[in-house]
Amino acid sequence: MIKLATSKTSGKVLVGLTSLVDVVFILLIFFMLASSFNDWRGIQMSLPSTSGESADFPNPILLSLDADNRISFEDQELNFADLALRLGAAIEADPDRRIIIRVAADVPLQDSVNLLDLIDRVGGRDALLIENRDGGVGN
Amino acid sequence: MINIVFLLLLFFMLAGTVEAIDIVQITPPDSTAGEQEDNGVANILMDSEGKLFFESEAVELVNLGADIAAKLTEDPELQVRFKVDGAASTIQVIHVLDALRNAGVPELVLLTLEANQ
Repeated sequence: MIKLATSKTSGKVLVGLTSLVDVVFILLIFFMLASSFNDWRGIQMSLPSTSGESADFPNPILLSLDADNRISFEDQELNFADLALRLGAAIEADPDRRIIIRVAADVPLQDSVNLLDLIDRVGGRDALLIENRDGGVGN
Repeated sequence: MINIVFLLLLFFMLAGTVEAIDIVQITPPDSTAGEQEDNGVANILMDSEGKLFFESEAVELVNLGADIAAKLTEDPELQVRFKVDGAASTIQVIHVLDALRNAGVPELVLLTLEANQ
């Protein structure tokens, strides 16, 4: 019987863990840097063509928003809480009234989105964002 | 030690999503409204100064409509997503939306981040 010189008497082979740990660390660093936990939301906006239906809404609710984040509801300046109450009441009285938001120059988008959020919270279904002079965009 | 590293690795792999980094740094507005969205395909970016980017390249407003219209003829189902910095002017956003409407885009999604209530 020939005994191979290379074979060990014990069957255990030790694998070095260091290289494996190195790779795991690199993967960990990659996923830590590349992952994002942003929770994206989307506000659906429809862009109706101007040639179709005319932009004529009976008795709309008119809001205007100026650059200092002052909101007026039918030419009366209101704070956010009062506006929520008044708007909620107006929408409840007639859910079909369109809401038109006239936006002044230099209003940051965040202020407009805050106002859209408020309309959404009080039950408004859609609102129309317009520049003070022309152009309209639905939400 | 290595067990904890493995756990962290699994957490980041499963909980996070790896996404492409935008060409400009944009902080979208916070919002409580809207439905959950993936950060997906035809993304138009606008930074706080109103500069526009489409497909990782700077574009002018006059050319954006044609670019989007070309994409839409290739794929009519294309979902257009507009990612705007929260500090950008609403009027500029409306101008871009007007240009897209004239280019025949029927609707788009304005991306926001979920606000902490």
